[in-house]
Amino acid sequence: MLFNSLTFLFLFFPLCLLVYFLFKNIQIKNIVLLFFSLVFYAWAEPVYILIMLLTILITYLFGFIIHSAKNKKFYFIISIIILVFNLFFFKYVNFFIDNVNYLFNIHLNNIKLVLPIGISFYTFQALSYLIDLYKGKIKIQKNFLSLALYISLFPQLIAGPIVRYESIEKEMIQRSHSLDDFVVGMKRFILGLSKKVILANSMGLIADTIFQEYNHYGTLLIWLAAISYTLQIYYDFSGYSDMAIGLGRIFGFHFLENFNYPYISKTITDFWRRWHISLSSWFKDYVYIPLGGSRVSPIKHVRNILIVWFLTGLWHGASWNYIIWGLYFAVFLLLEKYPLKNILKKVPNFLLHITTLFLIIISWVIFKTENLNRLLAILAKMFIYQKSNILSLITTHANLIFHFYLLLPALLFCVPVKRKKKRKLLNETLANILYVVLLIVNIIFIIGSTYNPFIYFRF
Amino acid sequence: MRFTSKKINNLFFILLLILFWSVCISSILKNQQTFNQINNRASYQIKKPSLQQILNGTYQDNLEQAISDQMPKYNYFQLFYPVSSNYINYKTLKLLNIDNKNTYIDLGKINLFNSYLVYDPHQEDALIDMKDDLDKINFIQQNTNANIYLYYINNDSNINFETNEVLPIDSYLKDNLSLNKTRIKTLAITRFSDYKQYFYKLDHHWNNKGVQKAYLEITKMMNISDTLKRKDEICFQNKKFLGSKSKSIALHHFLTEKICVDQYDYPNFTIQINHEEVPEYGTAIEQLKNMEELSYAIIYGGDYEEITFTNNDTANSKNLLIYSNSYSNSINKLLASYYKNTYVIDGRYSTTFDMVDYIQEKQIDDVLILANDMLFKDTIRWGDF
Repeated sequence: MLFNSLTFLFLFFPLCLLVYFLFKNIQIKNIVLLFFSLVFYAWAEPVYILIMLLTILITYLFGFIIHSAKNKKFYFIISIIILVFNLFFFKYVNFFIDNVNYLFNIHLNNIKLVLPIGISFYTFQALSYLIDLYKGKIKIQKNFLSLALYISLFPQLIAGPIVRYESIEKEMIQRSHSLDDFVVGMKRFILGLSKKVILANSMGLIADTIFQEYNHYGTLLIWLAAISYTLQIYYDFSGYSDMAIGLGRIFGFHFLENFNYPYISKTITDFWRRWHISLSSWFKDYVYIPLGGSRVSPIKHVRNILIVWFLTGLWHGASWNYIIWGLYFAVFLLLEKYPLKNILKKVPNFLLHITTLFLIIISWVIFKTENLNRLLAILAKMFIYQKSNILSLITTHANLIFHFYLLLPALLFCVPVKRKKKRKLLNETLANILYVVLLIVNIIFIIGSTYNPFIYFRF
Repeated sequence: MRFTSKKINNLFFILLLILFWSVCISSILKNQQTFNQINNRASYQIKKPSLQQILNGTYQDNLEQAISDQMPKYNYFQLFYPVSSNYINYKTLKLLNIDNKNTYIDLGKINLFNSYLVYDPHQEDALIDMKDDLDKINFIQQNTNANIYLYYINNDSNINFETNEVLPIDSYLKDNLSLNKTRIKTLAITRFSDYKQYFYKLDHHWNNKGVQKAYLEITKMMNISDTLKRKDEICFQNKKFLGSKSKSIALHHFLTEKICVDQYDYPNFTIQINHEEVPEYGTAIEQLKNMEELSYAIIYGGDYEEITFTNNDTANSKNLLIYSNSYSNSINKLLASYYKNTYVIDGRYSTTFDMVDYIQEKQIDDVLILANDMLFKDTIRWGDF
């Protein structure tokens, strides 16, 4: 199930709210949430929910073993291997097979597998629980249902943010619900939904249309596609995070922010403090720092950064372009930490902004294009000028015109807007009405895609 | 509880949400919509799930569609986005002065070509789609004594208006049908100016001029000398035309075109639709003058499995079978004016029709297959052979 589906908006979510707020007891509330979370996941993955349940069971059992065993390091390593292997098998085994075939010129068959939705997210949550438990940062969760709820909680299950157990440990046992939380959460949800349904999907249509036929278009239009994709991925991902955070707030959970206007970054380092914060902090805390972080020799520091960003790229997808994307950032992060460290302090901010944005846009082109030959061809078009026939784009794809109009609001809303601190009562009331209108507009966009008249019936 | 302005606002917001949700959810759960007028199909309804359907995902997909169809004012919800986006696209093209260019402009579901809505032209390999149906026509011809005629309507799908490349339909039909070549004729469209003359801007059907041309060519092919003479041509300038093509982009309430209807003195018919007698087929011109919106079906009559015209004014005892889709709606009465009994079968709607048996049962003398690319693409019933 997706947040931007009618089933979620009109059946699942209202029913979940109704049942959840019927009970006062927090344990019963947690059971209700767990039930709905499992239904949420099973709706899209009626078979592969078993994989998630197995992950939860393994995490729970190994939690006890790690907590009480004498040789806890051994069992900790085993549990990590099992969980990582599970992720590797479903997400990376065919990538591994393809590379082995290429390297050794053999012909092993791929395994017919479907990637279970959200496996990267819930596996990382399970891993963070076990690692923090091993380190003694958190107490063991003896209640299986509570642990299951932590891993499967539907607001953040399929697209993050990656929630650390320690950040909601207390809220699992005791949390408050208020009118304010509900309203703030709901408004955040509506904003997130708008980002996804209105802006992300429109920008995606422009990007996909041009990239699919990149051979026919010149430099200007390829850059337009790259910028559109830059906007699409931001609104898609941050939109989902907003919806997750909003939903969490409604149910009394306070998830950490996952995006902080990443496109106003002045450096790549700054960018990764603002983009998918939960993932970068996960890799920082569980890979980078255990390797020594920056408190090692420069050679080891370089090694650590390369490992972290190799894994970051790989986490995003089982394809070489994702690895290149991760290492691309590693190179610029290293440049910022070493040769350019003092130079950057002297560069005017606007120049830093433009350069960083330029590098980010290029990175998204790498991220989007799995075929490396195609990637090279697109990059060549971006940097070796070719004339663009904009009229040709409009005539071949006139249906994009409407979405072009949304480019301007998409560009405007990805930067922070100053708000007046005090609001008059009338403005607040109008704002409330506008939020509901925005919700209706989102639903119109969702439903509008179902318009497909059958022309010849009784005509 | 003290009601601060913030609390009041919060309560107001929640009330608005509850109101919106309860109106929508109650309509969805009532599950009463049975026909989706916007999309011209049966409405999806919420059904009891089966384990198999849940496991293969079809229940989830159907439920999503059902919610859309069962929303209150579903027509507004389903139309608002395509109307807004297509209207903006169309108006922008007009503003940029591109809409009247002799080039295909892709609007998503259909193209704009010099202010006409047209389909993509087929490639030559599309001809092979007709082969099965042509074999069935050959079979029928070999197993009946009726005179079989084929009139093929070329349309925008069979010609590339930019290059004027025309699909060789005429030669393909003559090479693959065992009918006498004089009994095969096509409505010749060799360039855009022909298409403009004989077809609507906003609909896939032919206009009154196309019907008139076809009528003259068909009667000549079928050796019918006693043809009806057109009495008058009545044109409507500013009526909304609910064209099939404008409907595909949800702009059927916004785009207009000049609609002309030919007036004839038809003989006195007894008309039956699916064995039930009806007073008329199509709408009289006097009634059309008072209507705000017209469509091809409103003007000429709709599609039914079987329509029968019994000509009460003719001494001719011959019977005609017209086998076609909606294209025949505008020409049925013209052809029926020559025969005693004219049977019109729309092969898309029949589940039991067998042409060989039907010809024998109804003592059909002449069979006219009025075809276009859509007829041969649709699943149509010829019989059990």
